Amino acid sequence: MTRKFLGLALMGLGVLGAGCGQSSYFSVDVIVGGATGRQRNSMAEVKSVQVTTSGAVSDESSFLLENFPRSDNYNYPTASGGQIILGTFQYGTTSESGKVTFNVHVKDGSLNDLASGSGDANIQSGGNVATSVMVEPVDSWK
Amino acid sequence: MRAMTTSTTAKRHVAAQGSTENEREAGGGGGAGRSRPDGRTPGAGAPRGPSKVRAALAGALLVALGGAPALATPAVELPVAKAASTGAPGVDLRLDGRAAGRLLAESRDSDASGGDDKSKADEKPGEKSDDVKMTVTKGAPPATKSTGSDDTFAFVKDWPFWAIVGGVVIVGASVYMINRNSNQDRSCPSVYNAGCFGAK
Repeated sequence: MTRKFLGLALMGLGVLGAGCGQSSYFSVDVIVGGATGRQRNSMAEVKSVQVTTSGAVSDESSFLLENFPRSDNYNYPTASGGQIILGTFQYGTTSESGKVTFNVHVKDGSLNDLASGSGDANIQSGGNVATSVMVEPVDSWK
Repeated sequence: MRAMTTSTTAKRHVAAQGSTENEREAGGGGGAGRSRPDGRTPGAGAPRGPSKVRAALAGALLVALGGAPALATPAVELPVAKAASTGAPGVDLRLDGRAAGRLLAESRDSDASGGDDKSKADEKPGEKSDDVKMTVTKGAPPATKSTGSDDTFAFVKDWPFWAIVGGVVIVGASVYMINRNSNQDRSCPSVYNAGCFGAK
């Protein structure tokens, strides 16, 4: 009888502990490539940035980056080579392993694509992986 | 000559009928029938009988008196109870008062010590004395509760069940709170100027 109770207790604890997944994170820099990516005044046309994730994701897979459009006097950071970093966001997943792919679309006020690109990174369980997505401007934004 | 032979098998107490044989003889109640052929009377200076006879007498007294106090035995001829009950002729002990008292004392001593030791020694190992009584009841064991359908959940009446349930509830609540606190909406660090998304 005692063993039965003990088994039930352990099973209950197992059920309770099943939801204790550990999140893994990505720090993603969205970098504008090409010559446009070095021209700060071109960034004023960016009104929104849409990100779609795929792969080992656990939560939302499509979202818009925050704080867009930027203010006129926003000081964009730059990556190596002088390329403008449009924005940096964090993305979390509870998946223990796998790869997450980020598809980024930079849009203007009419929701037309100004640039797009994708990148992926492998999950480091419980860690924070820094990665970047290079978006290439379309011809109209060059 | 047995002028004073008295059979008292029905009596467990031998009453005093005189302090000494001489008194009885003087009163004429018992007559002069205690004299021996050698002319000596079994008084204070009379020689005692053999030790075997005394032991037999002690045993006879013990059996006849049954452990009851003997008030006095002045020259009373005590019969052997068994012999008397079976109709056998009694034994004339021809005891005076001192001898009878001594025999009674010896019989009591033997009861108190020797008799017990002897009885214990006679006991076989493993046997128990009569004082210890054990009652062994053989037969079917007491009827147990019928295991009907109502006993399926009888474990809920036991305290360990509720102890475990309480423990599970407490541990579960603790795990939930810890998990919730660890997964609270974290403030997005300022380095992420485009926000934080996905799992928290």
